[in-house]
Amino acid sequence: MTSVGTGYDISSSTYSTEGRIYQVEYATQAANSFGTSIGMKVNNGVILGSVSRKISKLLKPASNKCISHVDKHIGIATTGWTADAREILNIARREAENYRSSYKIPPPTTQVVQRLGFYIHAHTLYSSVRPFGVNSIIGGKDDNGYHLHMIEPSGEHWGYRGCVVGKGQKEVKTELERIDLDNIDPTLAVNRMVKMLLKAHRDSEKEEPYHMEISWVTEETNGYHERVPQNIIDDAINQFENEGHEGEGEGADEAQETMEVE
Amino acid sequence: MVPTEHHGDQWEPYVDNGGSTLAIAGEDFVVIGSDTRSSDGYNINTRYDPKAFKFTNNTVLATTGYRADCKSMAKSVQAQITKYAHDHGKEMSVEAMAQMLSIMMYQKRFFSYYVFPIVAGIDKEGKGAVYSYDPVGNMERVGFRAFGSSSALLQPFIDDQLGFKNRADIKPEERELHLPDLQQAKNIITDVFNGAAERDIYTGDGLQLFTITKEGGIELEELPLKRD
Amino acid sequence: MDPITYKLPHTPQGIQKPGEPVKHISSPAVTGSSVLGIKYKDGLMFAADCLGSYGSMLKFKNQHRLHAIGKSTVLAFSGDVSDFQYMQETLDELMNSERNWEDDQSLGTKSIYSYIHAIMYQRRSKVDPLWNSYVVGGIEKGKPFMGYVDLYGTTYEADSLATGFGKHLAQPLMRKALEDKEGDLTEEEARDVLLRSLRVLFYRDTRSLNLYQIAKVTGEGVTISDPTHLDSEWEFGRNIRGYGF
Repeated sequence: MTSVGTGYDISSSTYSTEGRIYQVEYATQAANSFGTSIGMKVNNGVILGSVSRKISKLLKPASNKCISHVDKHIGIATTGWTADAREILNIARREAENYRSSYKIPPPTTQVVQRLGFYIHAHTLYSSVRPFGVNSIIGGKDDNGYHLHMIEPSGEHWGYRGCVVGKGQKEVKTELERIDLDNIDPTLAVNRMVKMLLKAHRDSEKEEPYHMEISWVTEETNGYHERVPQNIIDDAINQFENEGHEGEGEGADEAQETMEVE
Repeated sequence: MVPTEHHGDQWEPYVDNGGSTLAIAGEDFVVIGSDTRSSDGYNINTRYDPKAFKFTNNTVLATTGYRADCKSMAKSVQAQITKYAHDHGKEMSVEAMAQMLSIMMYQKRFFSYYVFPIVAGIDKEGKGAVYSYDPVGNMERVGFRAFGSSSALLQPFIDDQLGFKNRADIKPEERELHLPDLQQAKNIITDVFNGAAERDIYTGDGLQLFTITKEGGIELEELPLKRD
Repeated sequence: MDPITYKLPHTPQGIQKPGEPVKHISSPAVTGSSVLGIKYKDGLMFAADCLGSYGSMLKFKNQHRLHAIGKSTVLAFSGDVSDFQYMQETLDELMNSERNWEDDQSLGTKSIYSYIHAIMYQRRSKVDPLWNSYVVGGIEKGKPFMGYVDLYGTTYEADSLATGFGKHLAQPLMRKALEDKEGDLTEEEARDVLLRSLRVLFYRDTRSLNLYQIAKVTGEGVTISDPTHLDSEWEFGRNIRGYGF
């Protein structure tokens, strides 16, 4: 990198002469180098998914989750440094709880996202702290319907219909754009998401064992953030394995269907 | 105008829930009885709320007074005893527990536990031990002690029967020779509790009788008392 | 010019002077009267009327006083409504943070009861009590449990429990019902004794209402009835002589 050695990359409180903040860029790079996470806002639901390489056969299943409850109706999927993610999760829960005790209503997703974004951004302003090496995808439901947001290590956050972050970012993004997100139903969307996650995993990690989590907030869960039943995920995995995933034609039939709707 | 019947200048943070306890130490045993009624004024809260608890295989703590404080204090004692066992690899002796309780109570000298505890156990020499306390932690080792709502009925009786106080027929220096045996002590406790249940509205429903011996550890018998 | 102020019945008199010990002036404002709870064959049943009184004024005539906490616990309260609402928020926060663990475990009735007691005893020890009496009951690991906690942190368990006037008027009726059936009431018998107790309370407790709710906890979970009208008989008053008639 051109800047290395110029001194502009050791603190996030100083811009480089080209107007960049290298520490934040490094954090982004760190956040993007672990697994893949996807968020989809669909017809009557929002879905979060995450896949990562299983780092050891000795790990206890589900002992370090990357999808968690923020509140009854809000979920978060994180990729990046898990210890940093833990901190972000705690802050998200704290903000949701504070909102609840102040206003006695479920916190709107956007409020939690804004407060969390503010906190993450504050960690890019001072030389005394290190920016978070985490990307957070937040999905939830409130009076204004379903919401999907992503917060980057810079603190920047946008609302999305579909978003992806991590190793398989590029390919999944192309595929997400081909899906008619507004009209696809949650169960079908989960099917598509599982396949996208698996493909992303295989593209970068080959046959390495993986760890996958999928959760949703839908009408069926009464607006609660819950984990998707394992059988729905397993069905999609089986379909994926049977269809074969070497060629680009994977999932082509369904893709065409949605193309037609569009 | 006052919205409800509660409303004083200063709210009183204490309640007396009644009940009685009585412990008797023998040469190589100790027995401790307590009733199971919990009251608030003329109401019986419940007929079964035990006042005495086993802490080690050698010690029982029985407490009358304000039940919330009794339970809170017992919980703190239990926590310390568990910690002691972990730190020392052995159970706390009754002497150590007695001293510890005194300190814990005195630490709350200016917002005291409203409690009247008795600690019973077998000491290091194998003798029956009874420790009694006032609510701020003043401790005394005694041969027998009655506490609680019936203490004014029970204590004078055992002073006579066990302490031979003011008795012309037994010389003061011979009193020590007349320690009760186990059966006598148990009989006294069951009898006097029946008497207390008759005359004291705060004592009744059930009697818990703990017997502690060196060989047998702690045994608990539960007997009925008058429920009116 | 003096600001316009309205003095509530419980507005504290005098102000805190510097250096003085802190005085907490707490007294209830909107209050609920007695609640009742009884164990029966299939679980537990609770009853309470739907009144939130403001002093002698019948202020809120649809005040729910029986609440489900989690899947198999009922919390019944009497005393200050806002202190209860604080407790309810605290418990909601607790249940929520327990759900976050996603460990397929949830707090049982005894744990919830213990938590409520801890808060109540802590507050009494600050001489700033939550002005409530609670009956907490539910089924944990197949076994029924019911306990009482009040603003003093006093706790006890029994097969029938009551707060307020119910301690004097309903508890004898419930204890007799239990003794007659050796502690094994049917659902109908439990409901019957609770309704009789509510009726006596309505006749004799001036801060009561003839609108009530019944809650049940069984192995199936919690059900809380809609507010229901309580029938009562006042015609006998016509035959009473000697009170100025």
